[in-house]
Amino acid sequence: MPKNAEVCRLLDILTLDMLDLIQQQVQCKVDIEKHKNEGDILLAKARYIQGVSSVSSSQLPTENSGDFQALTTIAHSADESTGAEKFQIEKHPVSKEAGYVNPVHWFGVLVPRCLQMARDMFDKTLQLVVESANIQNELRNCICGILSLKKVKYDIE
Amino acid sequence: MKGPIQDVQVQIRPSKTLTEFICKVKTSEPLPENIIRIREAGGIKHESKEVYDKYIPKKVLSEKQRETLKSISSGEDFNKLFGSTSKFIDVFTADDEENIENIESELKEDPPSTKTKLNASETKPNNKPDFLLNINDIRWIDQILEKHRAANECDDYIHELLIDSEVILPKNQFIPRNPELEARCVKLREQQQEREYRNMTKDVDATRQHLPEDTIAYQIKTINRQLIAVFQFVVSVITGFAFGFIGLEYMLGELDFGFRLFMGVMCALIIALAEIYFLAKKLNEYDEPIEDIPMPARKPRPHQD
Repeated sequence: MPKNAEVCRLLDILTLDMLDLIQQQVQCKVDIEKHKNEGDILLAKARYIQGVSSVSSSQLPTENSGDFQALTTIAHSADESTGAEKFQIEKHPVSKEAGYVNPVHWFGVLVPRCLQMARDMFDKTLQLVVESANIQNELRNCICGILSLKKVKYDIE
Repeated sequence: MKGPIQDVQVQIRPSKTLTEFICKVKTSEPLPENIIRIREAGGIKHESKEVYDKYIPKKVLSEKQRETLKSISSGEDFNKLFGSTSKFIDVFTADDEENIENIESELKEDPPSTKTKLNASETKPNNKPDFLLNINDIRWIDQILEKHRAANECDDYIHELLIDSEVILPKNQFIPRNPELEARCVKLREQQQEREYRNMTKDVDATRQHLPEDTIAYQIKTINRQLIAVFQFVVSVITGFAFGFIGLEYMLGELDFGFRLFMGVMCALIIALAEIYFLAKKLNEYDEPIEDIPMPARKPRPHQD
């Protein structure tokens, strides 16, 4: 059984870690909001430039259209140092043969620059969301550690 | 309307124990700004204006500590732990008013014996929003504690001091709506409603029924616009042909009839191609229903304005 002082020191580190992770999570969420807003505005701009009917939901594929692969997928992996589950974004290059299509081409061949930029923004948002999920995971592990350490600490006392 | 969060710093409202500890600390080193503020509220004067503003890096678990932690928390289930725990740090957002009120009333109900001897305790420093610590301050306290522990001066740990402290998450700024914008919105909404009403009651009011049709503009509008577009197309193709057939002869002198015909057809073809693009664009626009904009009753002929 570890000594009380060691448990306390561990608890200290984890508590500070937890606060730090909370801060990171807040920062991440704010960034998500910022990027998403920017993307929305760019999309609205694209609709304004190109016309409401040329950039609309009617361009999106329906149930009847052909199947295609997702360009971005999420992979799970375990962090070696802590053993915690981690999410990662996997990107696939566009290739017609493998079924990876470029979604921007649904809106025409010559799309406005704003649409491309909006897409980049949403892409970044997606990365941030995954980052946020990872932070949440870490936070959860951290709290789990704190709680189990507390249990040990009070058992010692 | 909620504005974006400007300052993402998570802040900690120190508990009584932590406030007491901060006031008790004896150190000759410069203190962080927030700590000085709390100490000054606690009646401790600071002569030196020096402020500790270094960033304290995050502590990393050593390999051994990690092993220990793993062995302790390996078999634990998060939900079970979380459900069974007594509160260790209250985490809630600052706009969770009810929670704050609860905490505040708890603080008020504290028996006087737990109150500190500090002057500041009468003014309740922990209820004031001014006395907030950020994460760097907490790390600084941790450092101080470590030094004290090493010197066997005390055996407090930061996680014990933090019990009952609040974590305050940053709050959205509230942006009041601009009254000018509000007035404009009301005005526009009224106009829109007025227009809708006018449209709806057009058939009923005999005095208004034939008014718009009197104007030439209205009559021209009612002619099928697509026909005009097609007519424009035909005219430009004919003029293009005329340019190639007659215009080139004027410019270059006598030409062979076959060549003139050929040039005319070529010019007409190029213009037709360009025109078809615009025609397609224009016809595409007509697919969308054109809102009939009725004219206000008081100004039956706005085109004369």
